[in-house]
Amino acid sequence: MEVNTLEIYRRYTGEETFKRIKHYDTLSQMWEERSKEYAELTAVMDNGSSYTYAQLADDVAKFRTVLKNSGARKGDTVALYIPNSYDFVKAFLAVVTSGCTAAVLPAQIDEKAVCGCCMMFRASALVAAESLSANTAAAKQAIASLSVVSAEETAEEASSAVDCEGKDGCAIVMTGGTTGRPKGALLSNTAVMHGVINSCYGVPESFEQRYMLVLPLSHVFGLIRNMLASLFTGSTLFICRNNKDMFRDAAMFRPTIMVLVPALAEMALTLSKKFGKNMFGDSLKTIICGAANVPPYLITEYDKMGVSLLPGYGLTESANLVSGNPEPLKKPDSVGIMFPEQEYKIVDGELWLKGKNMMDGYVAVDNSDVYEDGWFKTGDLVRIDDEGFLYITGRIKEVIVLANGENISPAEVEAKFNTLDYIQDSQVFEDADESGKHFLALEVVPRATEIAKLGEIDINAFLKSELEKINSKLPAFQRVNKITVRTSDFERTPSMKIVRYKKWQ
Amino acid sequence: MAVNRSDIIEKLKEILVSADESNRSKLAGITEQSDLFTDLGLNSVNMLYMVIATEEVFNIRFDDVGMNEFRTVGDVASYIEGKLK
Repeated sequence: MEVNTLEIYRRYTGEETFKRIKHYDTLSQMWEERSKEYAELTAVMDNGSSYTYAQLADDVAKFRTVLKNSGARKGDTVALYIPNSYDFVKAFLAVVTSGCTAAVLPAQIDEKAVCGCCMMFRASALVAAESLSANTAAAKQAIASLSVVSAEETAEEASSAVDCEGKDGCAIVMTGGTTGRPKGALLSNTAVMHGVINSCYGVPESFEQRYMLVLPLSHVFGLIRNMLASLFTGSTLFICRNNKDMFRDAAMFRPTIMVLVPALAEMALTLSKKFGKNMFGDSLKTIICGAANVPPYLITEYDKMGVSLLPGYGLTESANLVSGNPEPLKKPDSVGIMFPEQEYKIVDGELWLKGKNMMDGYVAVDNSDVYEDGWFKTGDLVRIDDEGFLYITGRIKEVIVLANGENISPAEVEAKFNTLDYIQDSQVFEDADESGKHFLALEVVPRATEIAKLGEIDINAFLKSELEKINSKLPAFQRVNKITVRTSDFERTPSMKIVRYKKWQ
Repeated sequence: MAVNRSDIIEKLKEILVSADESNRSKLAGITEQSDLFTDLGLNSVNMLYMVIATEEVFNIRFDDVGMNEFRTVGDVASYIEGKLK
């Protein structure tokens, strides 16, 4: 089904902002028009320098000449291997307004992976930061036709933007995907523009904001929700080059909006409590939070500081956002309402998606197992309430099938335990006793700030008793048989997600 | 700011506990030799927290050294000590 939530979002967004959300077919069109409209405003602040939209447009036009001289032509793929910086913004815009597809490589990958990606994506050029140029050697040697270009290069002459269509490729973004191995999702201009536009729905203060970037630009959340949303809305993008400086940078820049993963939002909250001030500064009004499960605690605690923390749900494959929660205080455990024009259906609890924001498939791999009848199978288990609010209840791959045939989605059970403010994270898994009998077990990581308020009590016993109260109210098949309070955090992936384990294996 | 090494270690312990409450139970056992990763189980966000909180508490600034260069509590204490000189 396709949901038309446009009217709902008109209400949540506010008429003034809503009127300014203009649709474009391509990023080229958007940039050509918006860079003129906002010409005098500051587009980017990076490494002590500020650049207006007009200056950025000028640098982009000159870099198009650099690309042209390197042999890159409309329809080609150009790999970008540049850490978060002004040069990334400039090079990305130059590539896509040249009618090429930008394959954004994470800055932390090594020489071998750079070479592998250039081969897999059939890149005709590789634009690399000087600081990473040593890692381009293998690609240069292995691919005779590859031009390697410095991101710092420029040209005397400007080149015009190249016309392209919405269906033409815009970006290739790496993802762990729904089935394990990293691969590149190909996003068309239409998909990326929809991702950008979705960013504004439900956020009344969207235009002429001050965005601070702390997430990698090689990820859709950083690239689309942060960088491109900032440029679309005439906002200023401050690039924080080192996350350890984020609060010092924030004191100077005074961001009004931040795009964060929950682990960073929680760290900032803990520090804000420790030092008795909002570490991001008092200008901060909105935090867009996603890419992992958002604990309701973050929403209520930030609200006390006058900051609206809006959870959302999205995938690399959907050019970032699929839904956003404009009423987080009312429904703190929901990832919100589907954005306008998002087509979806729920098959055996799994969310399937279609629509203009969806990718054109993974590049150079077999896509047959991720699509069915044209629907992209997300692998996420969901439910939708009467008011259209979406809830993620788990991942298909994580489902535990008990001996009695009951299917348990760990995330759904964990969410119940996570409602306790004392609990920062939890993991439900299948364990086995010495006799080989399988049972459900729970491990929790306590939340430092809340535990500290308890004083000198037996934390272990207290938490177990609180958790047991919740456990006893769960349906019998979801109840855990063993509760462990951990003395260290769970092992985590680079994007801070918990590494799930099966103890009995 | 004249601070001796044992003061630095004490303040650092306090930061390590606020970075990860589960370290409270290990508080008495934290020594200069305690490994930040294997003994205290710090992840990348806890590590970031430790650096930021240390900068605030000691009013110092970490250089852009890779945070992975710190292995033990003593390594961090020595770095702070060097900065306070």
